Amino acid sequence: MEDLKIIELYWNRDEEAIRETQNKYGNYCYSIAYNILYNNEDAQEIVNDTCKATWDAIPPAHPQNLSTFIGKITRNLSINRLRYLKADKRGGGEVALSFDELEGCIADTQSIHEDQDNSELTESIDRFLATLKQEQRQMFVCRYWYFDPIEEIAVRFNCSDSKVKMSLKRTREKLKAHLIKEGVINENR
Amino acid sequence: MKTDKLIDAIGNIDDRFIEEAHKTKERKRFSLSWPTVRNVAVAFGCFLLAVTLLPNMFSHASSANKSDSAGGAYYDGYYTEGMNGGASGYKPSYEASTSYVSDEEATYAAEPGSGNYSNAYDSPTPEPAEPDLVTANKKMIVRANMTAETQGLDETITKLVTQVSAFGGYVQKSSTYDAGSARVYEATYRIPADKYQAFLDSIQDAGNTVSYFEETEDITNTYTDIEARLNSLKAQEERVTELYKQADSIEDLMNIEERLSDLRYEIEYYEAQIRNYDLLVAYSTLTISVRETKVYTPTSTSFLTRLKNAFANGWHNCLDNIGDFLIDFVYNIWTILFLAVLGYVGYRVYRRIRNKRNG
Repeated sequence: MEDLKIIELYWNRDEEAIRETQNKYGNYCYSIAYNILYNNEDAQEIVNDTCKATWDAIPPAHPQNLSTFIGKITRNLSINRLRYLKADKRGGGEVALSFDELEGCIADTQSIHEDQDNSELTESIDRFLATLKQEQRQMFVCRYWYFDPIEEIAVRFNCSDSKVKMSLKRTREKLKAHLIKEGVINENR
Repeated sequence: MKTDKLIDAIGNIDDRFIEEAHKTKERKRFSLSWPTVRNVAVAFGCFLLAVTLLPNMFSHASSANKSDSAGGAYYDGYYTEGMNGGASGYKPSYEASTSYVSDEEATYAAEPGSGNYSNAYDSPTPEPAEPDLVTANKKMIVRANMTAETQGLDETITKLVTQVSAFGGYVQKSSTYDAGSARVYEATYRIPADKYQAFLDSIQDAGNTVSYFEETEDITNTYTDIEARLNSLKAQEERVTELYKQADSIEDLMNIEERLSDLRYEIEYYEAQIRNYDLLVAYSTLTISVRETKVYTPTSTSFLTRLKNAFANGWHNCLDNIGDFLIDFVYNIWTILFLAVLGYVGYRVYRRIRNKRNG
């Protein structure tokens, strides 16, 4: 079923919308959740929670792109679940590695403004991503949005693991420079 | 906390970036990654190496009396069928071979060693009664298969052909070919049945017999039936010819002529069969395959000897296989180079297309 029809079902409060979402985006949501939680049952639970959250969000929301809308919900729910489960003791999994990589990028000498609005930060990152080459941008999003393993990204982009690591490292450095330039993070703090 | 904020911020980036990255996931199943290509190439190389080297190694290690420095694959069929005499020096007698009589009367007792699958290694050698197929007034077709090895193929071929001629036989067909590490001579000889055993004795020292299989088919009953049928038809033909002479009407003449024609056709058919059987009975058929080798197949069944021989033959086998591999490699070098260049060009083109597509 097309996304527009599914959204229409949500707006009509038709429960068929949940079934269609499960059918169409169940695997997609599961892969995002599993990449973050590394647990089959948790991932499955997040997929169900995503459907419920989507049911609550539409209406009033009217997403232009249903897949990314649902993906974002899944990602947020999964990260929240991870924080709840692990608190500060993050275990294994790609998300922990991704956290470490990003932490290495900004933690030592910079800090994000405490009062920084999250939407401003997101807009700044959007502007940064728009300046990147497509391949670099895709690698960055695969790694830090989808939390895909390095090896999988390398296979997908037809290159070696080290090339992916190098590309991500450069992108992180560029991101740091961009955020400093835009005043989102402070230097030498 | 700072990282959490960053992660959350990344989680809300523009949809188009998320969708753009998601497309790479769909591309995954169609892409041929370099690690995959590399792994497949390495695996294929190992496979080729194994296919080239291992079969012979295993065939030699598995059984000492099966070991053959010139490559065991050729003899496999014989070994697995258990027909291998493995005797050193040629023993062209019934007890050194597997022999049986295929016969509608099942006249096993008439043939020495018949019906008893014996082997030179594991059975005592009874004194063979020389079968005299002709004087026994039986119609016997003898067919035999022999595999042998020699250290000088040309001399062996010369000797074999000379002996065939000397015993009044002839070479029905023959061929010599290169089977990788060794040359092989294959031939079918037709030897007068009464001189067959003498012929086998005469070629004892031509090489080392690896296996010998002989089959004797008793066609006496069939032959007698055909003879009886032929005599009956001839008698009928005589009577019909007499009737033909006495016939006085055109219709009778036509009928009798038709009958005569049928009779003569049948007579010719049976006469041809008789001639064919006569030829098969008069000349025994020996199919021989001789392989050139450096080391003869061992004859001892002692474990230590077999082990020693396996070790020695294994070394020769190893050298042969390496030689074969190098020769095959050099033989295919132009194909390999061509494919390598083609693959490289294809890879570069693919990279260029991919880079263009990815901007």
